Amino acid sequence: MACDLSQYTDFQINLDASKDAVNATHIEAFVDGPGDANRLLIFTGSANVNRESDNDDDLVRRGTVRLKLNFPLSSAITFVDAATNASLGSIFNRDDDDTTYAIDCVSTQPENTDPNNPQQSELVLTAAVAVQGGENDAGINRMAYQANVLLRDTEPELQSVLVRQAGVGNFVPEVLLFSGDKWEYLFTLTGPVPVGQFFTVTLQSSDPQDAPIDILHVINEVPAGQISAGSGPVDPVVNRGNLPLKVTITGTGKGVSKTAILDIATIPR
Amino acid sequence: MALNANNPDDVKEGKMLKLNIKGPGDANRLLIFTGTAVTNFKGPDESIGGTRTALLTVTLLDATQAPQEFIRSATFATIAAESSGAGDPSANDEWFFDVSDVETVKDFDGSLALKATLSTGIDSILLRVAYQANVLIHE
Repeated sequence: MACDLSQYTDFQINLDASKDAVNATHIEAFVDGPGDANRLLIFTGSANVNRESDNDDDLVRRGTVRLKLNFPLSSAITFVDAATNASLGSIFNRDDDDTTYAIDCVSTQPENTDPNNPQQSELVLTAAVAVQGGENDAGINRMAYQANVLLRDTEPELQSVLVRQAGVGNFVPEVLLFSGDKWEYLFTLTGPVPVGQFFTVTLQSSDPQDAPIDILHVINEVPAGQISAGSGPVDPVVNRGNLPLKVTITGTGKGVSKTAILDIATIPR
Repeated sequence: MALNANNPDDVKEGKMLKLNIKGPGDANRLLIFTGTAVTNFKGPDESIGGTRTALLTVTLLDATQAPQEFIRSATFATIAAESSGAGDPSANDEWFFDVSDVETVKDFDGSLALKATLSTGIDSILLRVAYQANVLIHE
């Protein structure tokens, strides 16, 4: 639930975590619930509030701090819930007046922050703040925060990487190749790529000398509406030694990695 | 200032939760550490003036227990308890407290450690710092 800000009207401070916070960062964890939630994001940092008391009338001044967390929500992402904490990170006083420093309430919600684009939405932390003290002699420099946000992300994820000898048989998780064989691969996603987007998968070889991946195959794009994408033949594998080689091919898309194995025999086909 | 989360004289209620997760990438555990560090960090004497700054290190897991694959972290730390006007017979008229540059890292000795910069002004003692460190690992 958002904070009741009806009493916090003396000032409003608008901040952006990308430039108005110290050590602003976030981590993301893939979770299974509660409910439809499949992402937990934890945002932390120290927001530069820099609010000083502005009078000597002994009145408490109450206002709001709005901090954009720099996390736009695409149409494929649904806000589920948030639990947020914020507290005094840096405070000071320089005279003998009564003082008050308070973060009375804090919440995180999705908000439209671009009036020219009503469909736009991003995560915004809102804090109800109070300051009392001698004129310019007391204040809150920084507010430490942690926002825990549950989201539902319906964008597809990388489900598998399969391989085969170029043009031969079915795609499988592990394939036997002979030195000199070309090979190809197939990415499969958990769902179709949304309209107007593409899904990028990068490919790496654990042994670039014996199973090189040429520049055209390092970065791959699955187009809108598709659930899978394959490659043309990749450069031939080589086995210079006397023992069979196992090379791991790793595809990575949106932070998810999947692997396939090339078993490379020493004898040319 | 070096404190250990497993020493109750250094950290009150130093706790860790371990959650199973499914990514992103190789991440399969989310570690959540909470506690209240006993800092008792005193500012400079009034005769000296200015502020005093120190690096706080709280060892969350020593090198033998720290995860081999540290991936990423996000950490919250803030003023939990302070005392101002300490030792000042006159009015409680000037103080300053700051907790900043908070992060959790795999330290040079292999331990998992929370780091923060503490600053205090004259007549100021930063008694305790509350924290929550959220750490993605692979194990």
